[in-house]
Amino acid sequence: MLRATDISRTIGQKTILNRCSLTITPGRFTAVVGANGAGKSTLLRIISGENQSDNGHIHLNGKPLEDFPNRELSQLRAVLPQQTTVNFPFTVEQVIEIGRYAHRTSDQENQQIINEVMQLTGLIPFQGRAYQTLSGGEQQRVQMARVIAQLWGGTYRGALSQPRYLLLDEPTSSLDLAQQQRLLGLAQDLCSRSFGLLAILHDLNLAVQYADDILFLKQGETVAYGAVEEDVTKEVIEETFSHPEQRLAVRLIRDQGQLIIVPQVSTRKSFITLNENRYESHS
Amino acid sequence: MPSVLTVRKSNSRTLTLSLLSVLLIGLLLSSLVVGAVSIGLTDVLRVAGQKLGIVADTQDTTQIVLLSIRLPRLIFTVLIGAALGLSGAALQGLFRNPLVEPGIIGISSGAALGAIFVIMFVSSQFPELAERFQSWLLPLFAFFGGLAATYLTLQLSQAEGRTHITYLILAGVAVAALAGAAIGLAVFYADDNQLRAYTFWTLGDLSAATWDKVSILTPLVGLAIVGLLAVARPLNAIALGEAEAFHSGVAVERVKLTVVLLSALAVGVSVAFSGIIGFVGLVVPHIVRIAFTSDQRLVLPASALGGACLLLLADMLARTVVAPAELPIGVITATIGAPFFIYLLKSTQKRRLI
Amino acid sequence: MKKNVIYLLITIISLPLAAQQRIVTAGSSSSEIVCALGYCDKIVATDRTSVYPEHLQGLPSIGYRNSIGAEGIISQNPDLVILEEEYVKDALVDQLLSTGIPTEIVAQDRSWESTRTRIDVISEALDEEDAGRELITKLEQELAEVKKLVEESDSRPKVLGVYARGAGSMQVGGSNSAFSIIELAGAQNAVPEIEGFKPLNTESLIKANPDYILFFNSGLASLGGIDGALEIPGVAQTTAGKQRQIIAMDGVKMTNWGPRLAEAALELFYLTHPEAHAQRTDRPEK
Repeated sequence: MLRATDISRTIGQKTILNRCSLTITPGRFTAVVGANGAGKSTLLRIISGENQSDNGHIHLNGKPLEDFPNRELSQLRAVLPQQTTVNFPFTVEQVIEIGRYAHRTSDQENQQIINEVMQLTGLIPFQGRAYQTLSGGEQQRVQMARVIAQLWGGTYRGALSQPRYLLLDEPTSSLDLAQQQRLLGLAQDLCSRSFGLLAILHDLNLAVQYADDILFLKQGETVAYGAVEEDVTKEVIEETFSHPEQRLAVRLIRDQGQLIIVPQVSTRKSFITLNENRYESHS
Repeated sequence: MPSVLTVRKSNSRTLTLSLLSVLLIGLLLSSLVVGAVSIGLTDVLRVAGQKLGIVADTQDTTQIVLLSIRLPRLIFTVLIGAALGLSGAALQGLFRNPLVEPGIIGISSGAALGAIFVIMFVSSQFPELAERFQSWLLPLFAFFGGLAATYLTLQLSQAEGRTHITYLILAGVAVAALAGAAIGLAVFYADDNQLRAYTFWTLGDLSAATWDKVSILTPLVGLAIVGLLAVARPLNAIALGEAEAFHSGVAVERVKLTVVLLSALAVGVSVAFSGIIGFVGLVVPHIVRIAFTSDQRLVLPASALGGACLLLLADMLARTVVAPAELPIGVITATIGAPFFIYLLKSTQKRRLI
Repeated sequence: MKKNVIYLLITIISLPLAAQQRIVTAGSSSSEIVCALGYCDKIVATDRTSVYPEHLQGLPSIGYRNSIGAEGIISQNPDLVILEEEYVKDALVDQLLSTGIPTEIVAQDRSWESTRTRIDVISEALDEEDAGRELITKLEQELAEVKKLVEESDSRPKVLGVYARGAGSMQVGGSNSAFSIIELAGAQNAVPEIEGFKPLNTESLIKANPDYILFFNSGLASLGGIDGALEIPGVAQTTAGKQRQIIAMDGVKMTNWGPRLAEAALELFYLTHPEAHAQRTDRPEK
C-alpha cells in the first residue's frame, strides 16, 4: 500500500491541501480529479516524496516515506510527468535507459529490459529514433516506457517481491483519443501485474472508465473518496467542479454498464453585460 | 542508426575515447615540433634520449626551448583545454541547455576578477605574502571569484525552485557585466603596468606557462575531471528535468553542487593562469554530441579530450601564423569557434534538435 | 699549458669580433640606443614600438608588449637580447635567462638617470663603453641647451597631455605618466594631481584650463586633426581651445626617453613657447 494520511499544505495564507487521505492499493487504479488549482499536482508531489507536507504522513509498503533512501524509493515508485522537454538529441533508448538509473543492473540486462518495455508500449517501430523528432504523443509514450523500465524487475534488496507504484500526472493531456485509450489501457494492465496506480486525470469520463477508486478534490478539500461505483454521483461531480461564477450541471448516463458523464447545457447568464443605454447587449 | 541491442555500447564509448586520445597524442607531438624555433622530430627524440640518460646531455638551446618553454606550455594547454571542454559539457548538462558555457554563467569573469584582486590589492598590501604564495593565491581567489559569480547567477535565475534558462542567461550576462565593471574599476586605479595586463585577461595567454603552474594545474584539473566524470549518469537523468531526475533516484542537489564547485575550480584555475579563453566550453560539447551521442558518459570525457585537442590546435596556429610574433589565443578560439557555432546553430535548427 | 694560453688569447681576441652579430631588441628606447651606438645593422628583429629608424619595422617583428614570446626571440638566433622591463611579461625574462642567451634587462623609467643607465648598460653589452660615454655627453650638452632656453623664457604654459585612440578612448596623462617630458620642455603639466593615466573628464578639463593640449601624432589623426580635437566637449572652453593651441608630436620620440630626448624636448619647447620660436636661428624642417 501507498498510504497518505491527513496531508496538509499551506503556502502563506493559502491552503493548498487540507487533510487529504488516500490509499493506493496494488492492483487498483486510483484517479484524482478536480478543477484547476484544486491541489492535485501538489498532492501527487507530496505522495511521490518530492515535496514535504506540513503534517500528516505517508507510508509506502508499511514504511514511512522519509525512511527510504532515494535510490531504494526510486525502485518502488515512479512518476510520469505531465510533459518533459529534452534539449539534447537523445535517442528513444537513451531516454528509457535513464529509468534504469537507480538499478545496479548490467548494460546487457538494461538493454533487455528496454527492449521488453518498448514492446509493451509499442515503441519498436521507433528504435534508434531521436526523441526530439517524435510527436507529443509518441514522446509521452517514451516517457511511459521509461517509468515502467524504472519499476521493472527491481533487484535492490528484494524489491521484486514488493508492490510498486506508478504516479501519473495528467498523462493524457497531449494525447489524442486513441493514444489516450492505449496509455490508460496499458496502465490498467500494469495494475493487473500488482502495480499500484495513481493518475491525475482531467477527463472525468476517462477517470470513471479506467479507475477503480476516485478522489474528488476541491480547493484542497476532499469532496469524496472511494470506489468509482459508489462515489461518482451527480452531486459530487457538480460540487467538485462548480465555482461561484459558473454552476456546473451534469447528467449521468449508464450505458451497457459504463458510466458516462455529460455536462448539461443550461441557460446561463450573459457573460457580457454592457451599458444598455450606449451599446447593444447580446443574450 | 544503431540498433537497440548494442551490448557494444560501452565498447563503442571506449573506442571513441581511444580514437580521441590518439588524436590528442598526435596533436601533442605535432605541437612539439611546431613553433618559431625550428625543432624537428629527431631533436625531440634526442632530447628525450638525453633526459633518459641514453644520449649524452648537451644542455643546448633546443633542449632548453623544448623542456622549459614548449613542453610546459603544451601540458598547460592540454590541461586548460580539458578543463574548459569538460566544464562546458557538465554545465550544459546541469542547466539542460546546449547554449551554456562557463563564460555565459559568469564563472570566467568572476574568476578574472578574483585573480585581478590578488594582483592589485594583495600584492600591494602584502607583498611578501604575495611573492611566496603567488602561484597558489591566484587560482584560489579565482576559484572563489568564479564561485561567487556562479552563485549570484544561480540565485538570480531561480524562480519557484526551478532554474529558468532565460533568466540564467540574462543573469549570467548581468553578473559578467558586473564583474567587467569591477575589473574596469580596478584597471582604472592600476598603473600602466597593470593596465596592459587587461588584455591578458580578456584575450587569454598561454605563454606564461611554467612547470610551477603546471604542478598546480594538474591536481586541480585532475580532481575536477575525476569528480565530474563521476556524475555523468546523474547528468543524463537531469536532462529530463530536476524533478524527473529526483524521481529516478538522483541526489539532485548534491550533483548540482558537485558540478558547480568543480566547474568553478577547473575554470577558475584556468582563468587565473591564462586569462579568459572563450568558445572551447561551448563548441566542443556540441561537436561531440552531434558527432557521437548525447550520453554524458561519453560527452564528458570526450569533451575533455576534445577541448585539449582544440586548444592545442589553436595554440599551434597562434604560435605560427604571425611568427616570430604571437596572436592572443582568445582571438584564435573565437575565429574558429564563432563561425563553427553559427554553422552548428543552423544545422541543428534544420534537424529540429534545438 | 702554452697551447691553452694561446687558445685563450685567440678566444679573447676573437670574442669582440664574433660577438654582437645578431641583436634582438624589445623596446623603442633600446632600439634607438643600439642604433645611436652604430649597431643598427646588427639588429635582426625588434618589437612593434621600435619605429625609429624607419627601416626597423621592415625586420621580422617579435610582437608587442605581452604578446612578445620567448620562442620568437630565440628563433632569430640572437647573441644579444635587450629587453625593457615592465614592457615585456615577467615570464619572458625568466625563459630567456634560462636559455643562456646573453640578455640585458633595462628599466623603462622616464628620467634622465634612467636614460643614462640604459645607455651605460647597452654600450657595455656591446663592448662600446666609449661610444656610450660620448653619446651621454652629447645628450647632456643638448639637454643643457634646452635647459638654457627654458631658463631664458619666462613662460611656463600649462600643457595637457592626451593619449587618444579615437574619440571614444581618451586618457589624460598626469604626473609620472608618459608625458613627463612636459617639464623638461619648460612647461607644466596641467593636471599634476592626477597620477598616471586617467580617462578624460570634461569638467576636470575645463577646470585645468590648459594653454596647450598635446597629442601623439597618431592620436590627433585618430580624432580628425585639430578640428576634430576642438570638438571634444570642454576643449572650446579652455585657453588651448580658444586659441587653437592644439599640438602634436611623434609619440615614440616624445615618450621613450631615448637618444632623441633632447630633440623631443626642444621640439616641445618651441611648440609651447612660440615667442622663442620666432627668435630661432635654426628653423627646423617641417
